[in-house]
Amino acid sequence: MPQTPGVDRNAFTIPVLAIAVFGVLFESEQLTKAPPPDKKVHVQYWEKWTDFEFDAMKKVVDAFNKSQDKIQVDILSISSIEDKTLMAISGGIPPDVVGLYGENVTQYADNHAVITLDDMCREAGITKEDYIPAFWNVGVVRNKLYALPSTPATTAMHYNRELFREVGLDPDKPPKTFDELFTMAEKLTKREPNGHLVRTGFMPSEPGWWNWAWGPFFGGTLWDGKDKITFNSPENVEAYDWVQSFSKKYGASAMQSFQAGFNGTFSSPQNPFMTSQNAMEIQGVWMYNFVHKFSPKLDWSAAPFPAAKPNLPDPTVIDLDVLCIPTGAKHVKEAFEFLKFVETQKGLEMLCLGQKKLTPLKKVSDGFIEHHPNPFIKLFIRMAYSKTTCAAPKLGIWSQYKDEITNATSEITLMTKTPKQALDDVTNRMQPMLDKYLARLKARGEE
Amino acid sequence: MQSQQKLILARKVLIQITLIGLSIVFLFPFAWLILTALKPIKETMTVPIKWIPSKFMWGNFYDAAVYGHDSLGYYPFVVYARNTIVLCTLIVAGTVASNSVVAYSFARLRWPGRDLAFGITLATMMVPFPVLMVPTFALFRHLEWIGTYRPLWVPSWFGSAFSIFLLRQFFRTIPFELTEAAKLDGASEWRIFRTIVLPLSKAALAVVALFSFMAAWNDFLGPLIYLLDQKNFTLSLGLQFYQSQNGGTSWNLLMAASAMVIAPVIVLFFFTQRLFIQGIAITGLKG
Repeated sequence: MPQTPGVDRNAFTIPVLAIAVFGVLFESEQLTKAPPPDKKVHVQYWEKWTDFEFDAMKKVVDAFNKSQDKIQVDILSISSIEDKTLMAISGGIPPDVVGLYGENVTQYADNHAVITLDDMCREAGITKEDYIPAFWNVGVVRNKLYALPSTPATTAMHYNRELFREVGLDPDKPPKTFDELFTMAEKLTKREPNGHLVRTGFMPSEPGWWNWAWGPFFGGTLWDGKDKITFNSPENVEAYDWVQSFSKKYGASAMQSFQAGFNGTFSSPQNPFMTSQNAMEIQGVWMYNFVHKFSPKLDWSAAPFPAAKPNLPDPTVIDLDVLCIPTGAKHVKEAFEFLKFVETQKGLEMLCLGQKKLTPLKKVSDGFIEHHPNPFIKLFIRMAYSKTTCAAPKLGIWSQYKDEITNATSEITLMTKTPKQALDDVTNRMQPMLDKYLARLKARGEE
Repeated sequence: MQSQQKLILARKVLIQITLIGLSIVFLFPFAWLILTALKPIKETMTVPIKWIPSKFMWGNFYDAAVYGHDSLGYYPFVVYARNTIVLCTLIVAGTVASNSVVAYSFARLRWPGRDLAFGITLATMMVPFPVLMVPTFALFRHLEWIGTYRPLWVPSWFGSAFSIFLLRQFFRTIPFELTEAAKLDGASEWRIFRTIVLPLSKAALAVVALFSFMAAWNDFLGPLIYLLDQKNFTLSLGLQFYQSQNGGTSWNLLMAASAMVIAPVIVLFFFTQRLFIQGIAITGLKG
């Protein structure tokens, strides 16, 4: 093969590669190029929702953008929203609106990461009287409003009707008291001769998301609202004695190994409730979505969770997603215009119906109930008015406190500690943390 | 003599069996991923694992590729794939171009403070990314680069300690006689680097390129922090859209999308396998 004299083919490699890279560089700049400026104010809105939950909010955003011609809300869906938001706030370029979890509000308020909305709400006529108190209160920290409700949830007892029938229980008569719950659970539980569990009627540790709620269900509190951790109060000890009674009845290791079989399967067809391995469990309004997606033929019902004591009926956990305006947001006024739109009955019902949740407003349209796919939506709305609601305490150290309670609950269910011991240990560990936290707040002039 | 041959054969068989066994262990998650991608949703998370789907749902791959089109108005998977390719190209080009020059200097040139500078370069490997996250974010914010791809690819044009170390180790193995001879013939350092050292270092460069490609392709935290428009997201960030907070995860679609996301890395590895393994062996990276 004759070679062309004097031509070094390698000499072209680097220039050709360089040109190609420049081409890609140009493309990358084009892709992230800001759109040509229009006359609108662009409000950056970051949300944690994806899939159908995002679609529901996108519809509200589109409706707002269409409703006027001065403000354009640009929504960004991002799953690890806390990391991104905290980074952006500390970096000084936060979005104008951010969708957070209700239990994060205190921490953000403590760190001055979100602004108060009281004055703007007053001017706009958004008042707490319009909202179900349990939901409005989530956004209030030390008497200041930092967040407005977006999509709320309450919890109730979910039970498998077919299993009720199978063991001779009336599926229209779910347990009403904790004693009934224990007895019915016993009937529904199936064990092999060697003691291995095949099916459980009820397990306090399933799904295990609200281990902290058992105390409030028994009339206990987690904090006195001032300077004392009250986790080892007699009511709380009574609650965790009840939690441990299941381990005593069925065996701690038998329950542990049974539960290990479906660990991490909540968001899947192998969820123990859907595979009829667990007959009754405490779950939120969202459970319908999971059943509908993964096991649409399941014969189930929802009912108020049984009462631990006669004076504490309809216990429920309050769960809420919220909207906040971060500190340093560029377009506060316009961001609030958007919040105002979302917080109308029309806006919230459009959002909450799309997400298949309940609305945080007291006023509910007939259409909302009529079109709601969850057959028990009225029950979940009723639960929001319950006297025995419990929500995460407004403490910036809540995430550590919650972890401590989760660990203590494991020790209690595994019977490595008595409930009194475990609760005392948590109280003794958390009290100094609370003292430090309160001292920090005091130093910042916030008490 | 025969018994010795038998012993050798037995040893070989034992080694092969061990290797095959280990390969199966490593293939286990991958097989699960592919088979889950082909299952109907009902069979995705069964315990014990149901390996073979009752029906092979090849359509899951199509569904995963067009997922999100209805609400966003574009095909997120395709758009994110393009964005990822653009980013990877710039990052790989930057990594190879900058690190090879720096490594050449550390390996072949003599200048005062060289070893100290090399030591400091290596020390930067000890600082974990989360520690640098806030200061670098502040820097890019000051440059008004947030929301663009620049914070993701520009740093790769300024060298990384790991790649510099790797290439330096390799460059040091090239006989000095070769470059000295070129120098005597009047070649400049740049010419020596381009015409002698680089062509001899293809294996090491391939390793650096592949490592940086994999890091860029799989990077989640960088795009999460710096990108502000959903249209600019990358594939690793886009995988979040297959799960919802309160509505269940489409595991089969998530796995189908994951399979498509990792496919290019696997294909690339197979094509460059020989170079890659050679490079790992020569640069002394093997454990």
